[in-house]
Amino acid sequence: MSSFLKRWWWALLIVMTGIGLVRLRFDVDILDLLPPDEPTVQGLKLYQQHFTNARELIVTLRAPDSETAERLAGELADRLRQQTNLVEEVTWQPPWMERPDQLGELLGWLWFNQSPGDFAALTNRLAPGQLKPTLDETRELLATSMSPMDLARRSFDPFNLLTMPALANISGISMDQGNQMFASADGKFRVLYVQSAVDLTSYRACASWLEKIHAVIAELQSGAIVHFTGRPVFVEEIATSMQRDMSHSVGATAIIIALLFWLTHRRWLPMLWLLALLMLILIATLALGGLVLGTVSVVALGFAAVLLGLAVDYAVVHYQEALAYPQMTVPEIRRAIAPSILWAAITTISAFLVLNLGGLPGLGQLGSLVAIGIALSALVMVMIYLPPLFPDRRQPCPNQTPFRWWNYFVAPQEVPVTGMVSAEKSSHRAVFLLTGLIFFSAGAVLCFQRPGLDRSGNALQPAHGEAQQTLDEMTAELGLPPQPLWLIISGRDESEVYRRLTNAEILLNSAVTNQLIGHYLLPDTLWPRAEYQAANRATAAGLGKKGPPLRDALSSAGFNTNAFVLTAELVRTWSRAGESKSVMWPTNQVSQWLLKRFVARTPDECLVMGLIYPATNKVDAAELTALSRQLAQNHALLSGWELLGNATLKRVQSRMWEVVTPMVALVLLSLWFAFRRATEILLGVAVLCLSGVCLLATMVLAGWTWNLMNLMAVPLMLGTGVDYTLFIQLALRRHGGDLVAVRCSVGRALLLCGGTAVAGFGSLVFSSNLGMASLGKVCAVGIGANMLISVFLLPAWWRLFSPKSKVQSPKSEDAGAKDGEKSTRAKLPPFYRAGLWRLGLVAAKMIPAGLLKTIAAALADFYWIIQRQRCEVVVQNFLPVFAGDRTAAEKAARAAHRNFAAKLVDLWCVEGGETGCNWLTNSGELEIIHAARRRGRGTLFITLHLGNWEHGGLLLNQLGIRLTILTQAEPDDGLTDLRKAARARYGVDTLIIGDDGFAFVEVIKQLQAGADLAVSLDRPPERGGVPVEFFGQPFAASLAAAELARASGCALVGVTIVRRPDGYAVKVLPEFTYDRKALGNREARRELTQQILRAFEPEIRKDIDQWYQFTPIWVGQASRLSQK
Amino acid sequence: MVSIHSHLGRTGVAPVSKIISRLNGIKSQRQARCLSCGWARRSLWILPFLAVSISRAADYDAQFNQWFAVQTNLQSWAGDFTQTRTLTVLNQPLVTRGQVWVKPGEFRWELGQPAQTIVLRRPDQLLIIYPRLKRAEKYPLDAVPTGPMRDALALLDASLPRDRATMEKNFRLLSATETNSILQMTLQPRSDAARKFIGEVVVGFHTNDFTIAATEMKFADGSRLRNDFTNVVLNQPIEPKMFEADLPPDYSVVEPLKK
Repeated sequence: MSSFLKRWWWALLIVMTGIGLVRLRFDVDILDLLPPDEPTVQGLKLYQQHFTNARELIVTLRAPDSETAERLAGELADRLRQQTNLVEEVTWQPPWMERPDQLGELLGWLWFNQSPGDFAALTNRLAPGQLKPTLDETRELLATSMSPMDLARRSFDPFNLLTMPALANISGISMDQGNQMFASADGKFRVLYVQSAVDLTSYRACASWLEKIHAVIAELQSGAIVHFTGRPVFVEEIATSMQRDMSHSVGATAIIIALLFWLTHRRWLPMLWLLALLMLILIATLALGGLVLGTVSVVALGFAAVLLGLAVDYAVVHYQEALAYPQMTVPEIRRAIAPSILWAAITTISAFLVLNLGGLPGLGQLGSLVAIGIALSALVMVMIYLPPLFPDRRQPCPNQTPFRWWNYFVAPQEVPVTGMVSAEKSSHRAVFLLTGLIFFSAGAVLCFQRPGLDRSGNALQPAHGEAQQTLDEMTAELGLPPQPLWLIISGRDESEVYRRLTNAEILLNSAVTNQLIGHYLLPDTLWPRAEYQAANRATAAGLGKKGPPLRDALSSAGFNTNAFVLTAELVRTWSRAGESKSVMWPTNQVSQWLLKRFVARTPDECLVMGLIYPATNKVDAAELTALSRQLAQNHALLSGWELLGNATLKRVQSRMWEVVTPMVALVLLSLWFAFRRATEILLGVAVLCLSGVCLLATMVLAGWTWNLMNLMAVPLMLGTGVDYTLFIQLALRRHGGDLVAVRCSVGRALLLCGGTAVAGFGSLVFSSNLGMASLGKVCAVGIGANMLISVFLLPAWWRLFSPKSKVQSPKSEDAGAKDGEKSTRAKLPPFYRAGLWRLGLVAAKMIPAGLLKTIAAALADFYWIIQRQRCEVVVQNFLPVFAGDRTAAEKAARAAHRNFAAKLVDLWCVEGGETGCNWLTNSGELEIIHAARRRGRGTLFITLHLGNWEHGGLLLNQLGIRLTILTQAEPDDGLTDLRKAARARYGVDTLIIGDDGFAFVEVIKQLQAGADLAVSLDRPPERGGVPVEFFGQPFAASLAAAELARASGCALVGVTIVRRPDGYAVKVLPEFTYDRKALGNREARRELTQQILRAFEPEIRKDIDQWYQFTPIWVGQASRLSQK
Repeated sequence: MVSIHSHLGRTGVAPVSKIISRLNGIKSQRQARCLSCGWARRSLWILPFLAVSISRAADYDAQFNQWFAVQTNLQSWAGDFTQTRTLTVLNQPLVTRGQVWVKPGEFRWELGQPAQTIVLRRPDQLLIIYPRLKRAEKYPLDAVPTGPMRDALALLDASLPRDRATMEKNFRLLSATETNSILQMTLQPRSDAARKFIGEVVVGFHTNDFTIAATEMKFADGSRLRNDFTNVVLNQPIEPKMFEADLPPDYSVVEPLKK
């Protein structure tokens, strides 16, 4: 399978890309950017789905005077109506003006909806005996009234049928209020509603239809100013903006990348190859995004420019390294630079994936797309970018050890810093002055003001195009109230909706009383009452037969047929109502035109929309939240763009911790794995903090605010900004702190990388979506600040705080090291620190030993996986024991790590006070110890780093022997003191042997006084080692035991203590005998040392997995390791 | 100020007025010479009619001015009227009698006997009282929003024009005809919005004593409202309480313009 993948991975990728491209769809609905479970979003979606006509275009027309405007509007309506293939209907004045008779159906239906009592009362009013008095009253009113409304109404409603409770609230079906929807007060501005005859389901359909409509309107050549708005225009605008944003941002970023690359390197081929790969990566990312996500939000397409800006970094760093080290092959460059690239990619991918937790699905999509792209980019740039550019360096060196996949994740062992270039102190001073200046200036700005938080929904809206501007103009000209909030109530049927309407009204009344809202409009009057209709059917049927007597009565009273038009329509409606079997709705054009503004019906549900007007011009969304929740419990969704912003922002804010916390942890973790030094980690954090302060100060000075979109810049900047600190500090290590070399190599590359990233984010500034534009601005400034601080300030900080260099040890003749070969030691594992040791001591007290050992073993396994370079030292140490069998050596080395973890737990337990141990001893062997001591010349116990050698002191103490351990200082002084104190508690003294030669004098004196001391002999000393053979390998052994024997005549006893399942097995070797006088000869001392080590070989072989040698012990081993 | 001459063109002396206006509009002397030469030879026979028309127009204008002068100098007038409402829904018009009292800036209009509608116009408000319904509608004239209602109220006010400036501010004069010593002016509201409501207003006055004879409003839907005045008395003192509304406590007072 793996070979199949290796051969055909590219074909698989092409297939997946193809499927993805086929599956890919674009979503221009801005609401799909938002969390779908948010009630406000649900309400807005329902509003858009049911109450904004997707096929309705609104045309506005402005003329010099009202007569011209009215005439042109009429002509335009006629012209558009002729285009029957494009236009279904045009409404340019209140529909009841053109078809007043159709009002009758609506009025009749309103009567049918009245309570049975009221409707029945109508029957009485229209009783034959009542007709003449009613008509006489009408005549008198017509004769004497001064009210134009009364005259107009009663002329066409002689029976006064318009007097009903329902019409008290909708008395505005008059010329005035009807015209308000179609013309401004001065009449110069008019509105036409054009219903499309074709379905406008896609933005392409909208664009095509609008083009044809524009052509028809252009033929009018009226000289009037015509604008367009409505859903088709918004859709077309957003789609066009989307295409423009994509092409412009990608194009601009690509040009900037090409320009910067050219300025830096002046080479065509790498630049063109880079651009080609970037384009392929973009297409593949989009395709894979389509495969994974299916439909991609228009906002998420901002990923393209961002991805370009980030992806180019990997190629640039790779290329820069190739130029800086012409002797390295491409595989070697890959090995050297891949860890930093891959870890940087991992942090960036994580940062962008974290956007999925932010609460905005659209931004989550953008994050996913960028993450996919980054992963692709890292792989492509690491594996594919360099080989075509350096064909002669493609192949690895003949003796190159093949790299495993994990090699690309583990940074090679760095040579410790030596011979640091001493930069001039004045340049450091300048850097620190600049640092202080930046910090205090930014701090001063922030002391006075901090960036505000925009709680509105402006960040979600597109930059105002013609559609929005026209809509705003229409609202102003028609004198419509400012944007209300929408209340959408749904239900299975009319009865359920009415119940919910009633409940909502109770809540809204209370809200008005509490001045939470100004007022509201609920169309409860215009909602059918199923129970009333059922009860009124019989009455309606009766009224439906009243046509002829009413007509006769009118005629008798002197009225002509004009007066009967409206009444006749009412009677017809009642007749139909009387025959209806279910809930009746009015059906004619006028009724439909009116009702569809706030009523929607589907086969599964009914919906009604009400309007709520805030108490003040500014919506206090926080106060409305409680009302919204109460209404939502009643299946009434309160929604609106003003609420949307606040609701979404609250969600984003509540999730910020979920987003930022893992990002911070990831950043710290990546810094830890990259550096494993607290200083450098803190420097990385300091860079992030200072760049954050600079960003905040810039936002204050530029007047920018945080909003629900650009808040997501925080995890992005954490994830991408940390890359610069990684690259710079790793480069500083590689170049031994040479600031000039770092700036010329990585620094230059990072300026280019940072510049492209800034360009990528910065291109979002021109996005048509305001939120994306703000996100681009903030990211560009934040990442730019991070990059500049990393390149220009961080190196000086690093020089100040990094540990001083250790001088390389000179070559040793006795060690037989080759000329020029420097034997260097690998560092001890980092857990030899006082803080961690104390943590271990506490853990040993609190956690049962068995559990702690299990945890420790798991950590050891983890260490084995992630620190392969260090673990390789142990493998190399074991190889001679296994006669070169690498598999066996690896197995033993891995077991040794686990056993060492358990050994540490044992040691912590002992140092914590647990001195009870099960010793597995041989009395005969213990007698060797006693016999040696009885001679009174002092006893030197010789041990190895085998098993629990530290327990030897405890054992001897329990045998009544006070031991003094000869040891070197721990890497951490605090640890030295800690352990010394701990040993003293169970009766073991410690004597630190450092470079001080006089310490040996004290040792000799103690031995001569009969003391018992212990020393380890299986680590080569830093100097003065003698060549012996150990497991058949040359070994530089310490002459300490032989020297002490010569000087004091002490007994030499070898001891090992290894762990067994049931205790600790103690092995005492036979005493090493020697001729004291003969030891005056150095060769004799070497022989004695050889004898001692040879005696221990079987013990080591028996318990090789408890032989803890974590530093190179063989001659030349350290230098071989450093070259890998 | 609208020249009456251009409007006379619509009433049947169009060719003459066109000639006059054309002569008046001539700017080029060459044009004038050609025109005068041509018309002088071909149109000499028109001159007598021209003279008659010009003098007739001049008479009307003078009468207008005199009527307005009388209006301006009037301190008060009162009279009876017969109101005829011709509606498109009725076969026969509705006729109601009433009385009116007018002072500068104020009037009292009682329709029906006994009064079924009383309209009181004060400088700052219009009050319509329906005694039978025990209802009054108050319209503050300084707070009427722009729109058809404001225009209608202005027209109501202007249907009894007091001076030419006010009349010409609100109306355009379409025609003037004299019949039986009554000169009738046909006016068209200047406001587009008002024209949707009232198409024309006709005001007639007696040319002998310049008292108001009739007013008529023609509405956009084809209905008409005409008032024929009789027994008009000028400058008789009218008690101030005639223009005050002392509404009984059981009357409901509404302000329809407040919503």
